[in-house]
Amino acid sequence: MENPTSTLSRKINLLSEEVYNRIAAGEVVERPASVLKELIENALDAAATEIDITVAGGGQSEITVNDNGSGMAKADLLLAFERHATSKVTSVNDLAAIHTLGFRGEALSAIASVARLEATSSMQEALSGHRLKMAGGKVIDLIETGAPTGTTISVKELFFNTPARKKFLKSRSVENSHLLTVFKRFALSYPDIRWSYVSDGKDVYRLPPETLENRLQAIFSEELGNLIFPVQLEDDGILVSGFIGAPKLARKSRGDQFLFVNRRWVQNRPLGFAVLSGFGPLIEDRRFPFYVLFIDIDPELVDVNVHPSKSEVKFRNEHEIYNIVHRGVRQALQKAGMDATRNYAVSPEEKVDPTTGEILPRPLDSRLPHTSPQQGFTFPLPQQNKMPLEGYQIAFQPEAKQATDVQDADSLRQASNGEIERTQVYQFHQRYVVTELKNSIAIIDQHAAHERILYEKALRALNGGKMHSQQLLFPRIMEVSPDRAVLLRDVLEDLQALGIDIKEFGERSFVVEALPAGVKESGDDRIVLDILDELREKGIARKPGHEKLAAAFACRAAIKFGKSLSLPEMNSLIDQLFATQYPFSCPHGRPTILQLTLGELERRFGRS
Amino acid sequence: MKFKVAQEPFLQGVAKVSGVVPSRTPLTFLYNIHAELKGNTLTLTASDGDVFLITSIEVEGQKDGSVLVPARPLQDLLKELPGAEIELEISPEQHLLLSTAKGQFTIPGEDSSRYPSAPQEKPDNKIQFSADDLKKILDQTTFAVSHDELRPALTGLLLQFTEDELRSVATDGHRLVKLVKNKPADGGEAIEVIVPLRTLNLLQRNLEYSKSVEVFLATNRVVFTTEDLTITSKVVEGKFPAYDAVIPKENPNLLSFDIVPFMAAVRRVSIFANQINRLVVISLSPEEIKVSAEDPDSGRKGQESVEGIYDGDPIDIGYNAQYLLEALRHMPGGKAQIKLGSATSAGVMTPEKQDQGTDLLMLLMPIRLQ
Ligand SMILES: Nc1ncnc2c1ncn2[C@@H]1O[C@H](COP(=O)(O)OP(=O)(O)OP(=O)(O)O)[C@@H](O)[C@H]1O
Ligand SMILES: [Mg+2]
Repeated sequence: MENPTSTLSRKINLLSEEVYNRIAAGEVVERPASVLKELIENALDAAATEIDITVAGGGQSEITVNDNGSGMAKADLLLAFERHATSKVTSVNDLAAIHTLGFRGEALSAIASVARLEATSSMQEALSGHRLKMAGGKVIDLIETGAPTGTTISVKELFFNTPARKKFLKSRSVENSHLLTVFKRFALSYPDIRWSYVSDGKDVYRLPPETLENRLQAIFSEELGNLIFPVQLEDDGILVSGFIGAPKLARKSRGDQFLFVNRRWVQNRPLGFAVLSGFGPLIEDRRFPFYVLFIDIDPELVDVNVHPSKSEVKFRNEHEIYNIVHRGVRQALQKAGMDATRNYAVSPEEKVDPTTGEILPRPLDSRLPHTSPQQGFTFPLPQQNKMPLEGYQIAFQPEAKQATDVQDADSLRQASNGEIERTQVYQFHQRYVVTELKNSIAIIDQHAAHERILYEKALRALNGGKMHSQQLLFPRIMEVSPDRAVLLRDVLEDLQALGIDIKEFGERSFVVEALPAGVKESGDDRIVLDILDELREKGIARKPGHEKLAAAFACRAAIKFGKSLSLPEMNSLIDQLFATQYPFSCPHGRPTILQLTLGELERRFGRS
Repeated sequence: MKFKVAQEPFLQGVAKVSGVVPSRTPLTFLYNIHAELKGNTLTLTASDGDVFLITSIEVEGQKDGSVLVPARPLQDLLKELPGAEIELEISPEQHLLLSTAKGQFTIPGEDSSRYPSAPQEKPDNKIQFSADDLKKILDQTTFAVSHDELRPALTGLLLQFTEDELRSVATDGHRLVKLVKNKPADGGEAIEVIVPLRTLNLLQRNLEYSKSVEVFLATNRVVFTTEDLTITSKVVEGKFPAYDAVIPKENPNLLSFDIVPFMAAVRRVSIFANQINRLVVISLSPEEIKVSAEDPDSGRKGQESVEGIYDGDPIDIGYNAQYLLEALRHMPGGKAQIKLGSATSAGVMTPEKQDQGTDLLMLLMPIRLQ
């Protein structure tokens, strides 16, 4: 019998024919990159804040997208792969103002029909999730499984059952570059999301949530430097924002030009021309300026239901929009000290043709090569240190509430000294270590506890002590983006003290020769990137203080939820925790231990 | 499908292949054994999707055919039928009907067409081993294979055939084993593959019962065949690190010792090591060789001096006790020696007496002391 709750929690509906016929449907899965695009859109529509992507073999062997979004209940998981099944649209009216990236209810069914796939999804609060296996559109298996909140869709052997289509795929490297292009678009339009992108086992991108500017630097590392200028213009409810590159950055090919409408990447030639016209004569002929621009507009005023690719748009009032874009660009250049109109007075008008969007030809003599950028210009520094720092302080100011705990801490310490035998220790859900004390049950958050331990150790090490480090047989060479390199140089010595033996190896390369012993089981050199990311997430771009570095280290090196611990490991964790100065909270101030006392139990059971 | 067979060979065949059956998988058909009868030969296949184990047994065949049978109940039943003569038949609804002199048993099976088939041809490149030799190679190397899925190339054993040698190399980035053997007589051409640990473990279990093994290698596949078992496995993709470059050539300090008492001392002392980093310190001087450990968090400590000869500069060097013990345990008996450079560079451990035609070497990276 169908579980009644799963029916209740169902959100996906099959579209009625009336609605469906109004949707620009059609070819969805042209190539691996289209799969990636659809899966990412779904993750974003599910309000994910963290998206991890794994591709292999140019996307033909694998495309996996993992999100921490809403997840799906069992019934929805099955329904999602039906044609015309969507939670995003129900009536024809909805199509008039589309707020989501998806709206056709087509993508998953189309993907499923040409690949083998595995979809695992779990909703928040749900006790468990489900895993669905499909091949060529048929359900093979559906099982209940433990899974973190969110959804993972893993597409394998794309086009295994459509050899004709497979034949049209390009080489791995070509498909890889299409995949990356898709990824970059999303990474740019969602800088507030944490992304990772692994291709054939290699970390290609790991992007913490950051400002758009930092994101640009991370994606286009070398080239940008200080050569990008912010655009920001609002008029009549339409907002144009983002960055344009200095004329110097203009390329011979139309490479790095990105336009987003309501954060959806779009192809729109007229808009492109509007940008170009904003540059005026500052851009030489047949050169293409760099830009990443966002247009935010009431969804009612823009139609995305134009083409099955969902990347074409029609504006209600296109002229107005082109005009704002043009002005926005021009204004940004002006602010940066470059007047796009200056050498250009001779030209009658360089205007966007109102019907075609083409720029009208300009007289030859106006196409002067641009002169060097202005000297006095200073670029605003990235916004930093926005994160409040209370978290770190709490740890040093034991709260009143903790005072009562301290009595029991003695009992815990005794326990850890073997004075009371800890007979019962076990791990709950690979997250919590549960142990029995004299008069209570203690539940220890394994990550927070380890964080506290490592935090104090790290702090000691940074203030003169040192950590042991395991030497590596194969030193690892790391390449980092320019801004990370700056930060890394600042912390190099401190990392040494933390047991991470890392040295400069070039402008943006570093070599890791030893890692803290016993901190991360795999001797994983990604701890370095993790620490940098953690610092960046906290808005720290230059040399951090010891507390902050220790906190970043502890947070990223501590054992995670989901790691199973052996009995000796659990005992050691408890011992070490109670050997710390403030065992009751992690460096961010969250508790490490909850206790359920005998008295509390008796009260709950109505015995007193 | 219909045949008669004695319990013992049937059970043995089933047991041989069922080791690979996964204990939890969403691909439920992998819980089955694929059984196929042609004439008097019953071929049993089991797989986890990556590795296939195939064995054949002689039966008294009556009717050809094939079926999928759940491995677990079949094996459980066969264990409980010692000495029985078994008659087996498949019903039209794919049920397995087993009868003995006194009993009748029914196990629902499945249509066999869903089962994935192992690649049929064997790669051209063939090398023959005696089972004992191969077993020894695996025993001495596989312990150092990495379990870190994030570095796939290290999760298998590198088998590297050159003109006249076989090199087997395993490493997890903290330690490394390299075993070089003279190439068996009829070795094929030069080739290298990384064989997944799981495949090797499955092979190891079966080597006990075999005399010789043929290994067929291709760049994407490896096949092992013994007298009665064929293992077909994918290989680990990825590039094995350039290991020769990290083997120090000139470590001037030499420590030699009897393996057994040295190991015993390390084991005792390691009880006092920090349970997370397992750090034990070996303090060396021409006068004394000392092993010690201390866990400042719990206040425990221990030390012991051990017999041995040290020729070199005084040095304190730290090791993860587990790595040290595992290396020692996989040395052939007798004496061993460690050549040391500095307290932060790789120590090279070798047995004092190498086995015939063999060159075994282990590298251990130290833990840098404060
Ligand atoms: N990652 C996800 N997390 C939560 N729900 C999802 C996810 N992916 C898909 N879904 C659900 O499955 C439904 C079907 O997805 P599908 O991509 O096929 O259609 P769509 O996104 O609604 O429209 P379109 O095909 O135009 O993108 C979605 O409407 C959504 O409810
Ligand atoms: Mg979608």
